[in-house]
Amino acid sequence: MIKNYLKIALRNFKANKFYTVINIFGLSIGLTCFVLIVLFVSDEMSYDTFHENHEQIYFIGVERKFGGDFKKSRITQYPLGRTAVDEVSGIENYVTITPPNPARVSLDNKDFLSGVGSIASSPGFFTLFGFPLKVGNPSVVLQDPGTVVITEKIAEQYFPNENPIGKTLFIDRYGIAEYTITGIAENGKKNSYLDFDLVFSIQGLSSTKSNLNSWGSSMYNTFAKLQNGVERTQIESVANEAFDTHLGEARAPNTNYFFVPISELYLSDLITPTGFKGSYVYIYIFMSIALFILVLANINYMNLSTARGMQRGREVGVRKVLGANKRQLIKQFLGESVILSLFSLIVAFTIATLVLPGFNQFFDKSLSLNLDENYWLILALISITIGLGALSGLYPAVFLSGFKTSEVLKGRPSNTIGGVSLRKILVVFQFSISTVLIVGTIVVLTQLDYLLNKDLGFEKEHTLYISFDSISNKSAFIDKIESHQAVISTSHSNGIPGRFYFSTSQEFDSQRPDVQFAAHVIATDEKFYETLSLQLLAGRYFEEGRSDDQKDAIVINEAMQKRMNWLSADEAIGQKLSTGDEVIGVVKDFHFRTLRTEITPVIINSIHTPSSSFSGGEVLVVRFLPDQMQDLIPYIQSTWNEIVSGSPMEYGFLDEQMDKLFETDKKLGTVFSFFAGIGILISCMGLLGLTAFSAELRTKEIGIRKVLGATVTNIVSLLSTDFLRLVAIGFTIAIPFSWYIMNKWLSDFAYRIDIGIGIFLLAGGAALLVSGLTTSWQSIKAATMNPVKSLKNE
Amino acid sequence: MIKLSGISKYLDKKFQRTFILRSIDLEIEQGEFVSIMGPSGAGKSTLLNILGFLDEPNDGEYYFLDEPVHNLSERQKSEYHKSHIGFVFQAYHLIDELTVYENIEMPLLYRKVKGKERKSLVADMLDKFNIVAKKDLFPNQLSGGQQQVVGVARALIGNPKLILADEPTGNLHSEQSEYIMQLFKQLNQEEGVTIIQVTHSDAMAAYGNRVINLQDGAIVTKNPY
Ligand SMILES: Nc1ncnc2c1ncn2[C@@H]1O[C@H](COP(=O)(O)OP(=O)(O)OP(=O)(O)O)[C@@H](O)[C@H]1O
Ligand SMILES: [Mg+2]
Repeated sequence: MIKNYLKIALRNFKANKFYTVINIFGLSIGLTCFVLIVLFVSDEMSYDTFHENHEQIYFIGVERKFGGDFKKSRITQYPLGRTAVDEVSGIENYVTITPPNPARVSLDNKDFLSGVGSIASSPGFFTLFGFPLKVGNPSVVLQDPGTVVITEKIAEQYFPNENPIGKTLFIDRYGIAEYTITGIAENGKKNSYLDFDLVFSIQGLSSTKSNLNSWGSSMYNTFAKLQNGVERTQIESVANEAFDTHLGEARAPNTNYFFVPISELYLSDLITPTGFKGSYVYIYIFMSIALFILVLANINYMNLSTARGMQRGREVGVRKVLGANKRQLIKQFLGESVILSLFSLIVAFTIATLVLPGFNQFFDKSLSLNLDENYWLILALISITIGLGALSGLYPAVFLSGFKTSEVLKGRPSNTIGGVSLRKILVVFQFSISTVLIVGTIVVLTQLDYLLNKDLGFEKEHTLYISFDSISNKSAFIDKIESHQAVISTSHSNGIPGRFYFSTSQEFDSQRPDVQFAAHVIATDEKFYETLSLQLLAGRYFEEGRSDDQKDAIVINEAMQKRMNWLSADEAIGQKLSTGDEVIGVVKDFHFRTLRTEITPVIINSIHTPSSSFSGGEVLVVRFLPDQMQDLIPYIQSTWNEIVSGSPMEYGFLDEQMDKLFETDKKLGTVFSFFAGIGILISCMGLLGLTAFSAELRTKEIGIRKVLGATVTNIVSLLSTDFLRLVAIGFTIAIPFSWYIMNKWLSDFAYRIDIGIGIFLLAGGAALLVSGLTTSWQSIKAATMNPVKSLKNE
Repeated sequence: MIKLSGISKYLDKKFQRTFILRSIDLEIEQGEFVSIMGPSGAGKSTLLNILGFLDEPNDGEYYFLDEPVHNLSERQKSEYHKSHIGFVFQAYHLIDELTVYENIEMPLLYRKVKGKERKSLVADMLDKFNIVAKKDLFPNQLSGGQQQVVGVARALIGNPKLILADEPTGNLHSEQSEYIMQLFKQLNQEEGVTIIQVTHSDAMAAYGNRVINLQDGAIVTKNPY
C-alpha cells in the first residue's frame, strides 16, 4: 500500500511539475534559512555546555547601586571565590581569573606579538573547566606563581620542533614578566566565554598581592562549583550574607551578588554582544524570521494542494468507493506532504552546505554541517521537517478526504472549490508577513543611511591613527611625521572617537555629593581640537606652553556642562569640579560612541599633566591631505621601523573606525533585505500558483467571455483583482504590526528616524507592484489564449 | 438482499421542498440483474448512490442483507465497499496516475491481500478480460471501451456480491456496449453476482431480468418512454 501511495505521490509530482517546483522551491529555501539559522542559534546556545558537570558551575555576577539604579557587572573582587568556598556550605570549588583579553607575548623579551588571548587564573582552572590538557597534570600546572599553560597552537608557533615544557615565555598583560611553561592544553574551544591561547598563574601578579584581601577593588571574574544536588536558590542568599560581612556597612546595602549558570553566561546581559553574537535579541530576530519564511513556504503548500483538490477529488472518490476509509486517505495525503518536505530538506541541506562558508564569514562563526558533529541537530531538523510536513499536509488531507463521494464522482463537485476562504486568509497572512519584512528592511536601511550621514561633530575623513602604547621616542617620531608634506596636523591622545576607554563614576559636584554619574576621561595634547575639527562653544582649548594647563585645567563637552547644571557653556568657564579641576573650555557635543546612546559627559585633560597616568589606548592622530596618502603610509611605516622598531606598527583610519560601530546594524540591514526578498519571492510564487490554477479553472469561462467580446484588459483585471485585494488587505494588517516592531527596534537608538507614511507607501507599493506583476503574468497568458482552443479543451 | 421502504430524498430551498426521490419501496433479491430506467433527472443516479451508501436518504429505511444501513458507521460502510459492493461508472473513473495493472490491483491493497496472491488475482483478471497486453498502459492511452473493461475488472477483483453500474455503456458505442453487457450477463448467470444498472437503452435493459422505471423520483409501472 505504501508503495502505491509513493507511486501516486511521485507521479502526481511529475504530472504537476509547475506546482511541485513551486512547492519544493519554496520549502527548500525556507528550510535552508531554517537550517542555517538553527545552526547559528544552536551554536550560540552551546556556549560553555561542554564542561563536565557544567550544571554545577556558576559565574558570580554582581549588581551595584549607582546613583539610584542597580548596574550589573561581571567584575568582582579577588577574595570573593575563596570566601564562597570557605564560608558558604554547598560550594566546593572556585576559580578566580582576570577577564579574557589579548596580551603581548615574546620569546626573547624583544619582539612582542600582540593579540594573544590570555587569562590569568587561580590554580583550579584546568580541574574545574572542561579544557583537556595534552601535557601536564591539571591540578598541578598552575600551582606555582610564574607558570603558564599554552595551547597547542602557541606551542607550534613558538616551539615548532621542541618540547615547550620547562621553557619560558615573556607575557605582557600586567607589565612584562617571564613565565615557565608547565602544560599544553588542546586548542581553546571557540564556543566558550573562556577563549584563550594561554592561561598563566594569577599568583605573583603585583595586582594580586595588593588585592588579595581587598573588597574595595574589582577586576576579576569568579566561578564557583556547587556540590552535586545543590540549587543556586539555596546558595544565593547565604552567599550574599557571607559576602556582606566582608564588604562592610558602607558597601553591603549597595551590592548584591547573583549566580549565573556558566552555560547562560555568554548570552546574559553581563557580556556585551559582539556583532550578532552573544545576544538573545538577535537569536529572537533570526529565529522569528526563519520561522516566518518557513511558514510562508508551508502556506504555499497548503494553498496549492487544497486549490488542486478538484483534480484529486476524483481519486478520493474512487478510492472511497473501493473501500478506503477516511483515515487511510488522510495517511496518504500526509505521506505526500512529508515526502515533499523531506525531499526539500535534502535540497536545503545541499544549499546550506554550499552557502555555509559565506554564512560563516558574514556571521563571524565557524559552523559546520556534517553528520558526526551535528548528529543530534540533523536528527532534530529531520524530525521538525517531518512534523512540519505533516502539519502543512493535515489541512489538505482532512479537506481532500472529506469530499462527498457521490459529488466528486459526478464531475465538478461544488464543495471542492471550497476552502476558498481559508486560502484567502492564508494569502492575506503571507502578504502581511512579507510586508512586515519589507517595512523592516526599509526602516533599517533608512536608519542606517541617517546614521552614516549624520554630522558627528568632528571630521572623520582623511584621518588615521597609530597605536602609540608603550613605546619610547614618541616626540622624535611625532616630529618626523609632522615634517611630511601630506600631514596637516597631528595629535597625541589616549582616545579617539570610537575608542574612549576610560570612564569614571563619582560625584563631580561638591554641592550635590549624592549625585553620581559617569564621565569618559581622555587626555590629549593641544592639537586634538584642531586635528579632529571639534567646535569650541566657550573658553579655549589647551594651548602650547601654558604651564597652568598642565595642572588642573580641563575641557568638557556640552553633555558634561548640562549634567553639571551649568546653564550655558559660558557660565561653565571657570567653574570647578569636586576633583578640583577647573573648566577652561566647552566643546560642542561630538559622537564618540555608537549612535544608539545619547552623548554622555566627557572630561578632557591635558596629556602633559603629570598626574595623568596612561596605561594603554594611546594613539597618534594624523590628519592628512587625501591626494598624497599613497606616499604617506609607507613614509610613516619606515619612520616607525627606524625610530620605534621592536613591535609592529598598528594603524587604522578614523572613518573606518566609526563605520565599524555600525557594522552590526549594516549587517542587520543586509539580513533584512535578504529575508524580505526571499519572503516576497516565496509569497509571489504561491500567488503565481494560485493565479495559474484559477486561470486554469476558468479557462472555459474566459473563452466564453472572449467570444462575447471581453478585452484582454477585462480578463486580466477579472483574474487579478481578487488576489490583489488580498495583497492589499495583508498590507493593511501589517501596518500596525510593523510600525510597532520597528519602532521598538528604533527605540534602541538615541538618534533615529521617524517612521513616516512614506515608508509604508513605499513598502505597500513594492508589495503591490511585485504581486501585480506576478498575477498579471498568468492572467495575461490566460487572457490571450485563443478562445476556440480553450473551449475545445473542456 | 436489498430492501427499501419509503425512501425519500429532497432538497429544501426557501419554503419549497423539491423531491428527488419520493417514497421508494423496492426489494431486490440476491442473483437478480436489475435495470433502472427513466428520463434524465428522474433520480436514477441518486437512487443508485443511495443503494451504494454514497448518499443518504432523508426519509425511509434501507436494509442491506437485513442490516439497517442508517445504523452503519463510516468504517462499516467502507468494509462493505471492500467486500460486497463493486462500482462501475459511466465516466470509468480510473486513476490517471496508475497503470491498468495498478488500477485493478488497488482494491486488493485496501483489502490487505498479500503480494503473491495479489499478483495471481490481477493476472487472472487481466487474462479473463483479455487485457494482458495493456497492463502497463495508463488510462489515457486506452479507448473508452477498454477503459470501461478495466473499470469492470477493477469492480470485480474483490469478488463483490453486488455490482452497481451507473450508465456503464453511456459513453460507448454499441459494439463495446454489447461486450460489457455480455460480461455482466455472464457474471450474473455463472457466478450469481447481483447487478443493478442504470441505463437509457432498452437494448441494454434487455440483458437483465427486471426493469424498474423511475419518473420524477417515483417508481412507475409502465415504461415512461
Ligand atoms: N446536489 C444536488 N443539488 C441539487 N439538485 C440535485 C443534486 N443532485 C441531484 N439533483 C437533482 O436531482 C434530480 C435527479 O438527479 P439524478 O442525477 O439522480 O438524475 P438522473 O436520473 O441520474 O439523470 P441522468 O439520466 O441525466 O443522469 C435532478 O433534477 C437534479 O437536478
Ligand atoms: Mg445519472
